Amino acid sequence: MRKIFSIVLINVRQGIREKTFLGVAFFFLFLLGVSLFMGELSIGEKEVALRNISLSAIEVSCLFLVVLGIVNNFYREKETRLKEVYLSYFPQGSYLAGKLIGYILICCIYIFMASVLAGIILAVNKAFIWQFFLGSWGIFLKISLFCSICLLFSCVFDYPLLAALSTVFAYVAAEFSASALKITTVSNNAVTKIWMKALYHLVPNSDKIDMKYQAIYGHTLPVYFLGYVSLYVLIYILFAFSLSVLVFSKKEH
Amino acid sequence: MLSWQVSRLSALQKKTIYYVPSVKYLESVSGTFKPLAAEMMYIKGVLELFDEIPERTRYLINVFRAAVYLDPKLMSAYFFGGTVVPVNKDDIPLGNAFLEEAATLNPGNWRVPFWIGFNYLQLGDYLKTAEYYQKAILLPGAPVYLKTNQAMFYYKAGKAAMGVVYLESLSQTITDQRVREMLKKKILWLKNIVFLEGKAARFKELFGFWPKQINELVQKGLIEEIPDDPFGKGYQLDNDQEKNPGKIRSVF
Repeated sequence: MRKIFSIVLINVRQGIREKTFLGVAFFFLFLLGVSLFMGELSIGEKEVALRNISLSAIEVSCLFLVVLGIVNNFYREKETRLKEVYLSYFPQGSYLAGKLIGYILICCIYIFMASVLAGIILAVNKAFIWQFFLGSWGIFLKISLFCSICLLFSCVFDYPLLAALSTVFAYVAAEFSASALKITTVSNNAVTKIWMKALYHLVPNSDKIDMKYQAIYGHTLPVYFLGYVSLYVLIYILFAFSLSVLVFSKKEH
Repeated sequence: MLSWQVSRLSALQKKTIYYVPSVKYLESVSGTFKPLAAEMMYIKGVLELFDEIPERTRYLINVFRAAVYLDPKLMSAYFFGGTVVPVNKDDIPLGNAFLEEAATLNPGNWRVPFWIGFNYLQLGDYLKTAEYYQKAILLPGAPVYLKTNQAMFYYKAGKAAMGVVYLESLSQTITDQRVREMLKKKILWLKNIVFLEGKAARFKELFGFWPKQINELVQKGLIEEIPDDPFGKGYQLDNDQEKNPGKIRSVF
């Protein structure tokens, strides 16, 4: 446990200092500026538009942080042979767990900071509602899940570009899985329907985790729903992490 | 120089295409970012409101329709699509068709039937106005003034008796003393009209023609005096007696 904690600490310190973190933060600030502009254009719906665009900006920028940050960090340690040094002291499972928890924590810090900043801007524009942070929690769950998927792809592929692109495609698949399932409901082919349903449950389902819509309109979600969604994400993370450990252990280091 | 030339040429090539993708398509490709896509469609509609667009009304209504299908709670999109875009009497039915369709997406909001009623008011169809205002009143959050305004639409539609029935049933549900006093006044106002219209009809039965002046009802002994008008300056026969024989109006 202490070993995992050490890796977590190293990753968090390193991750926050990295240029990727700063770059993503600047990108978020730019999107926040866009949200203010869009809010002015959205006559009669300024408050809703500000909350809506701010939450979307947090999610998109944090996805960049995951894709660029984890992949960059993972492959740099591989290229500089730092990984070998770590693995000489830390077990493989602890090394990966430390990396995953570290990056989930970095995302948590990022989402928290971005939400507070967006919350201040919302408050100045009289658009703040506390449910906004429920939306942030949904984003955190979604991004944590993609941290584990990004780690899995980083373990599977030898090229960083492939790992980064695969994570983005997995995100897109998760976003559209519900639409794809809906489309197949009109199909007469039973095999297609079963296959699509199986695929839908296999890929992460963003529609289940997402809470942006409720947060925008100030709807409070029941605690049991939040519990179930968090449990769903936790199980998915553990599943992806187990696969990552399995793939990682099969490779030569 | 080259940059200027290219800009000039590309400007010539540019032709704005006013196109709204299918709502189902937009829904499928926006994933969990549906509210954001709705917001973008809404802003697009607002920005294009003053553009010269072929088939402007249909096009803009389609833009706002896409917005409300993606986010059924985007109330301003209903407002713009249903009441701002239609600018003349020919377009208002299109606005109403959009609002009727959109009302199914957000059935609990009083504003949608209110705006439909408002459109009918612009068309001069007071009975339809009253019908939709009635629907709006039954929904949570509807303002009290909507409830009492109903009487005026029944009056304008020449259905004062319906207005009396409506207001009397409404007064049973109102506990606010000030509103009850106002309702009492409106009921009296409409009851007087119903009473005078009844007497005008009796006049027609007795003499075979409609009275030309309201005073004739007193002169022929059908009533002792013309009742006081609690709202207007007094009662009189409708100016257009050919169209509305025996109808009573207030002088405002």
